[in-house]
Amino acid sequence: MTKLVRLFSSITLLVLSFVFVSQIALAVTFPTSTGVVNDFAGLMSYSEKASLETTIKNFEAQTTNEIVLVIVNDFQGLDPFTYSQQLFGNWKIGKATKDNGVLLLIGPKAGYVFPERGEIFINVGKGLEGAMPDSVTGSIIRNELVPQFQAKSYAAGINNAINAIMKATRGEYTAVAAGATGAVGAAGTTTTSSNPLVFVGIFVLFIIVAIIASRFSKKDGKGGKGSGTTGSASTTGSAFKGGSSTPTSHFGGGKSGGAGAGGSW
Amino acid sequence: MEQQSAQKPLSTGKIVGLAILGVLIIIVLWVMGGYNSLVSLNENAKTAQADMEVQYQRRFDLIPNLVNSVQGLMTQEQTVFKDLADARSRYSGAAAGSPDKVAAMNGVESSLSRLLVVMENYPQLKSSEAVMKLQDQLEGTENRISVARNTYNGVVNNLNKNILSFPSNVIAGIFGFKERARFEATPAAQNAPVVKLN
Repeated sequence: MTKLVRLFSSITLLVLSFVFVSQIALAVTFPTSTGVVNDFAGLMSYSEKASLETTIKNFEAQTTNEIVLVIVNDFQGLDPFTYSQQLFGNWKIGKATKDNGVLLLIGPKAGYVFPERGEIFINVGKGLEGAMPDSVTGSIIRNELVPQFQAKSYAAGINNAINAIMKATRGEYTAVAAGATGAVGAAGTTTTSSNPLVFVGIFVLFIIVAIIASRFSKKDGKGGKGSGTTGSASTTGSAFKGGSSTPTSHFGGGKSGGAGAGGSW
Repeated sequence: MEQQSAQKPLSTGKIVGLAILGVLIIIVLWVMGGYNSLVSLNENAKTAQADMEVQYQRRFDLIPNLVNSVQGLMTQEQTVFKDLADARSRYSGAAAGSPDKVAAMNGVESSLSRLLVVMENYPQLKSSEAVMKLQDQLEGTENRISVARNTYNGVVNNLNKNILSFPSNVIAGIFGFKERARFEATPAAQNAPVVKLN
């Protein structure tokens, strides 16, 4: 009878482990990032992109701020802000402890040919909202990006904007200082902290079960019963860790609270 | 586990005693875990609520600046400004956390959105960098509000699921955890301020 019980519990645990592995389905599919410069519409030449990438990476090395450029051909039915907010969350731009990311998003304007006309949104991570308030972001778009884009000088406009962003956010964080002004902690965590008492309790439980089980055994090896019980314990642990699809990203795990500004040309 | 020299069975009393102890341990662990989860989720919900209200206040505070900078140029639109001013006083007067406060904030939101729509009829406003900056800030606040609302709904969703599902609903009932209302968009708020200047 005990063999049946063991079989039943193994099957139950197997089923449960499938139940807990969940696939997160997104309504919109986001591109995979190719680094800090992501030009999916071919607005910039290879050398322009390479030089911009170097500039941005140097800035990150000095300040830990993560600036990311994304140019898309399609906002997939979302408005530029919403697309930028979801992309920011998918790629997790900025360091996790500082939320110091900035996303410069450029894409088409509905009803017009891109890139003759288009829309821009600069989404600023929580940790940089102080350095780059929305009015500053808006001014960068109006003064550095829109005039250049109207003149079809896309790389020039983008370089101007990135320089302005770097100027605004330099000094907020440094690569050396570990205790820099951090972002406000998120309210989103829902995991329960594990309590050591729980493990003690579970351990005591299994000892009790082992004692009772061995007293009912018909001269089976006591070792067999003991190892059977501990075997199922480790399966339980791994099943409940749960699996979720991790987004592909090279970035630091930071968040945005919706700050930033938009514009169009 | 060391075995006794003879295969002597445990007395019934001892087995029953061990079993009861085992059950008690299970119950205590379960209640502990369940209660702590509920506490954590409930606190997350309170924080998300407070975050939303911070943004509402920010929007509220930005409005006078906007009104001052455009009122002179929009002398035909006195009704719009009056409605907005009335909505703001109702918001100030309502008690925090009451349904009146929520209704008043919806009133502010819809009269602000009407002002922003009307502003699009005045292209001369686009040449004022001061007005543009204010619009950036207002649009930014609306965006933050929408993010805060989504976060709040997500957090409340987790809390409510915990409170309603079995067996954590037993613990919720014992300790008095209550479901929270999600933020639902009101019909008027469907036309939230969309600021597009060209």
